[in-house]
Amino acid sequence: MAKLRLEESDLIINKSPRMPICIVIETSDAVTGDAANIRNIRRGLRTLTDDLRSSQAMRSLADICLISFGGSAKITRAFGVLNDGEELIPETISGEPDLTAALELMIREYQIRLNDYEANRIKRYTPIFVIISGDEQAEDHSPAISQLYHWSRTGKVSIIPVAVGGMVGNTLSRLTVSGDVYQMDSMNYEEIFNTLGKSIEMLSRSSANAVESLKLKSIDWNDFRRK
Amino acid sequence: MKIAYASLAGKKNQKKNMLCQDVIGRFSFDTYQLVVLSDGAGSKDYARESAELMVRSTGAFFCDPKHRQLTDFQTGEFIQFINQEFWRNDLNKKNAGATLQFFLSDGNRYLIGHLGDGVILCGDPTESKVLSLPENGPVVNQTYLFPIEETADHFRTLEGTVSKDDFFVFSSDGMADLLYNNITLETAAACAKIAEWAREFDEEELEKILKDNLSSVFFKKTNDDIGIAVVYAD
Repeated sequence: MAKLRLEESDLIINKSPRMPICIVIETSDAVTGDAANIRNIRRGLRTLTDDLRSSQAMRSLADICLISFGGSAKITRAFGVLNDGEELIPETISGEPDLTAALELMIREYQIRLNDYEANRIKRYTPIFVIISGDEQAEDHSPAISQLYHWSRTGKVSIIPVAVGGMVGNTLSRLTVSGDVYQMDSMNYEEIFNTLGKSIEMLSRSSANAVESLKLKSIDWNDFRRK
Repeated sequence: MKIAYASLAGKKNQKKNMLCQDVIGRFSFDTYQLVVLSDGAGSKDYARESAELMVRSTGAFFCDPKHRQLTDFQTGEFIQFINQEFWRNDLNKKNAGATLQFFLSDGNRYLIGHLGDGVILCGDPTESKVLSLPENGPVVNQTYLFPIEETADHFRTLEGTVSKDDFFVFSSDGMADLLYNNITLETAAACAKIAEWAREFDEEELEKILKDNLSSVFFKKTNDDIGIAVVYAD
């Protein structure tokens, strides 16, 4: 039978597709002032990266970008697959938190990444944007929020808004059609990130369209839903 | 005409003790041969059931002699039939979904149907080419599935004549990317080898060879379920 077996050279190895995952985290004084918050976020990110690395499928798929924001927004880690042992560590940025600036930066980075994919003919999965913010800011009507809402409504992206520290989440609730915002506190941060890892795996499965993929019904996000 | 096929649950599904969601079936009606390959959508609760129903329903449709139209195939009636079978089994676009590839032939002509992803290749032992490409949305985890009415626009049919030594390879998305270059559309050397084996061996032996290659070669290169059907005109 051995000579009736194909060799690796008999196969075509196409470029691996990528799943862009952009994590935006508020690291302003309001959030990092409570040491438990930033510790929980860091631990949560470690849980997530461990999950992604332990999954053979996700390890080569997940193309991760981390943006930290406070009074300004900064790319803490540009898009790329996770290296062995790499941790995602958000950067503390003081000042009045500017979520809009962070969302604008995320959209810009994502669009640049899309161009990279196109130039290198890399196929992609539906992107996931995770936005973790205290979000106390007054309601604004920036084009970034309209753009994200439109992408979310039309299934072009999956957005997971997470409010941290018992904040209201006004802007966050305007990013998705359902308006759901997941509330993270010291009791559930690990579950939140665990669930996020499972959701990412689930979103990588085939579906008829991205809008369907957004229904994370078999993942019990309800436990984290803001009351 | 020789027909052989094999499928295997991928690493992801094996880890969860789940059955392979690629289902393949073969049917014979008088002088006609039919092979059907369906991949149940992993995002649906009834992925495996969808693929099984897809194969059974396609077989049931062509069981009726009046449906065996190798020229001017009327897709509308077929789509309606399949949709009804899903609804009759309490499967709908929320809980179910499956792709479809089928090959129907009387030995002289063939009819191929294709909806969704996976790739169909054809050729002879010396040369092969892509016959039908996967159809995805803007992202790779989106494709077109039964049952939905809108699939009418995406359900593709191909008709042609069958000559001696012609071969066709039907594969689910799990192994499609290993069989052709998705930029140049060049086919893998594996296609010529499979065609050569199909020429040389009988169906039973060919099936054993396919199974061995799925578990020993293809399985290592993908995480997804893998399914392949080979048709060879002898």
